[in-house]
Amino acid sequence: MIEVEGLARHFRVSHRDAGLGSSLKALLHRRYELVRAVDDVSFRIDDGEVVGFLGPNGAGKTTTLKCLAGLLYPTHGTVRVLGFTPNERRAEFLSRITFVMGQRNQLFWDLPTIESLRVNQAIYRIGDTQFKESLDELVDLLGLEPLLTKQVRMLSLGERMRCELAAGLLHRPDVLFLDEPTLGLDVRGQGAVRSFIAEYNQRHGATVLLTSHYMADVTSLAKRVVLIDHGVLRYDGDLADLVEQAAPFRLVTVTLSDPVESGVFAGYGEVIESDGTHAVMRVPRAATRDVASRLLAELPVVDVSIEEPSIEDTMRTVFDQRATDAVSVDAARE
Amino acid sequence: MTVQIRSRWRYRRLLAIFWRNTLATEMEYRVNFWSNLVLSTFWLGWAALGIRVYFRFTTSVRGWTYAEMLIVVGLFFALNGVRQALITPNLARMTEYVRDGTLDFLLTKPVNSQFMVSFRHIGVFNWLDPVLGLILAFTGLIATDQPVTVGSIALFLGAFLCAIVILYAVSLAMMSLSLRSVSSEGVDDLLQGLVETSRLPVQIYRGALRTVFSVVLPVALFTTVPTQVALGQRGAAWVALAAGVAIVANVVASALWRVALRGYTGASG
Amino acid sequence: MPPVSERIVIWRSLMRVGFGQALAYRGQVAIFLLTALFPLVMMTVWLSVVEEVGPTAGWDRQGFISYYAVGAVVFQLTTSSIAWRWDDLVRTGELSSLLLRPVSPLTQQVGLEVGQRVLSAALLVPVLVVATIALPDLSVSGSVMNLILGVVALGGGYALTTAMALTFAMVAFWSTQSGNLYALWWGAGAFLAGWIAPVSVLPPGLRRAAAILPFRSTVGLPIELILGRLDTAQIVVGMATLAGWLAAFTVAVRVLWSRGIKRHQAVGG
Repeated sequence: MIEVEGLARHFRVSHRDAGLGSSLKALLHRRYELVRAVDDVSFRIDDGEVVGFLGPNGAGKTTTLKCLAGLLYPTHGTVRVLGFTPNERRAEFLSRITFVMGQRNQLFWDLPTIESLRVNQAIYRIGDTQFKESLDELVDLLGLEPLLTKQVRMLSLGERMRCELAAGLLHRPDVLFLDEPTLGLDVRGQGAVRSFIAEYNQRHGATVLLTSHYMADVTSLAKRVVLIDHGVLRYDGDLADLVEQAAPFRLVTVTLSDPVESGVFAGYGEVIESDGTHAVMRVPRAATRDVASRLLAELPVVDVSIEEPSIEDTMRTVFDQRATDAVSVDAARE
Repeated sequence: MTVQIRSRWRYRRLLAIFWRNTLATEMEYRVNFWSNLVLSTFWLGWAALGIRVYFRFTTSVRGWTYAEMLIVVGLFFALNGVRQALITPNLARMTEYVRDGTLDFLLTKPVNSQFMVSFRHIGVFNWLDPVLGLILAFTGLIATDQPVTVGSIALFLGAFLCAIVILYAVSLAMMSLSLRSVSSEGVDDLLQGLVETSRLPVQIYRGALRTVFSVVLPVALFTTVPTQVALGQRGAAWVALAAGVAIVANVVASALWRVALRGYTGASG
Repeated sequence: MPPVSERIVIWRSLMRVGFGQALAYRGQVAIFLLTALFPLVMMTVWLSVVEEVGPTAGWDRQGFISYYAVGAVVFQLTTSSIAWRWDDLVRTGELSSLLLRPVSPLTQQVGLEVGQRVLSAALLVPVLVVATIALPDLSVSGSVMNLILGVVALGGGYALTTAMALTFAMVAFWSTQSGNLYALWWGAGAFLAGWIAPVSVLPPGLRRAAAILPFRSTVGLPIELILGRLDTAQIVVGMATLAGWLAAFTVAVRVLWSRGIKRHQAVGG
């Protein structure tokens, strides 16, 4: 269980302009600025939930995760994870969570992967039987068999990420913080990581909070999403509802056999693009069926299709709307 | 001819770009700048005082007085500063280059690969070391009461320049080595060890070690010979010899680099 | 805090990895062996001095040879690179990864380094033993008791160096200058530790300072114990000094760590 109440995290960041002259000047004097990386975030995640944590770069996602994992003190607000206060960094707490960062390497570079896993066995105090069982499971799910005895520096990025996950999950944590676990991986690599996370969640009922730039990660893993932008919570709820709420329309595309006057389309919906024989329109959800049948009845239709707007588009709509009325325009620190 | 001039121009501009970037990045950490200044001065004093202990018991060791040895130590300090400022920042990165694929990226550039790996980075905080070292060397020279002429100083500086060029050749040879299963941090340690041995005049060493340092390895040419040139103990012929060694060493090192590179591109998948 | 048996498991596995890391590059091992020979340079200078003016401050030819031969091993075993590494850990954010584990990052780092020292010992001690048997000038004349005490002092010396290095490493939480500060500390200490020369050949002022300050415990004390050059009173005082400083720096590390980590969580990781 994760409870976040009124979480805020501010940083003091130094500023300097580009160029050699200003770096010389900065040797003597430096300007500072307060950055509100996270300003007011509250949410609650139940055991076993998988939640996608979304937001543009610098929105405050990583900062929030760091507060949850105990790497940072909150400036304001409270955070509870599994009943612990993370920043106390109790060993019992650390033994029950994991924080996998896609860009960071915790494996010993010059040694075979198995060595890093053995060290984690000692550090997390995993008994031999449990180690074997856990390792077998990970080897099976992640296809690690040929990788264990290879030096980490010899692994490809995708292979290394699978090993990272194994190292991070060897101690069977109850809570997983995954920051961009698929970053830089090819489609197959992404798929492997994704299905692994889903499987792990199913088998062990672990709670997962994950950030990703790849929307497919989120749509395939998480039913619930938390949206954060400029350090403020924008949305918390069902992924399907988000689409409904943020984009209460569908896209209707028609192709005609004979050209009509372009003004004609305006009678059916908000026209996004059109030439004489082809048009894309936004139509309110409730009216979609109605509009489609009118189109078929009234125009020489060759083809008509109705689509949900993509998640990417929806998100963009959400963030664009809010950016204009956002109070803080600082680039938050990740 | 024009092509050559233009390309020389291009390399000079590249250097300016590389080094300006490093400067700007390093100056981000402003306190570093000042503290490294303090540190450089500290190590200079350390080097000068460290050899003072020997002279508690005698006025000369193997024919070298304290003042004369200060010249050697000063040159060592300057040469080591050049190593830290120009060579180490690049040498120590070789493993990283191989590791993260930067080397492949560098090799695709339409610029000489040897140039790219040798001069991409500088360590800005040791730039003062060569100056400080030379000041110490000149202090020692004045303390010896040796007559100083423009000619002798020119020869002295010429000999020292050769030392720098030879050191570069050695480092390039080592870089080639680090393409093969040696971590380049270790190779840098080795280079440092080699330069360290020139902290003292080669006459201090005896037996086989002396032969190795004067004949096999160019240690004598690093600091001892330039000092002897300054003291008038060796003439212009030695500077010419140093220049010859510098040229040959660079030709050999360059060839080694090309061979190593061929091995690298052949081996990596 | 985990029970002792589990702590042993943790230390053992960390040490094994440190050992393995140091062995990962064969070239690196060869280079390490070469650089370990560096103290012999200082030895040659003293041999020259002794040859010209006779024994200095109770050290004759045999004395210096034995001092630096044992010293070459002791220098490698009681050194710590943790202050510099820590600087990097904080700057690159790698510390965050270590902080996520239920064992102190200090333990994780020191455990790895101890593993490296074990490898150093495994490589160097046999060489020293063979040299002692083969070379008549190299004599370790201490009793078995002395040898045991010397090994204890060696362990204590490493612990003290590490505690000092960690104390400075903790400064990294407040300032980017921890590495440089430690360099000043180490540099000043090198004079007093017995690194540049046996403490007894130093001028009286430095000798007095060396007796009080912690540095001699990390180098001079174990060497002289192993060589059997200390009488009972000197041994007692030396060991007490070592223990006192070790306790003081251990407390310092603990205090600074708990404050430093709070600050780290406050300013960002």
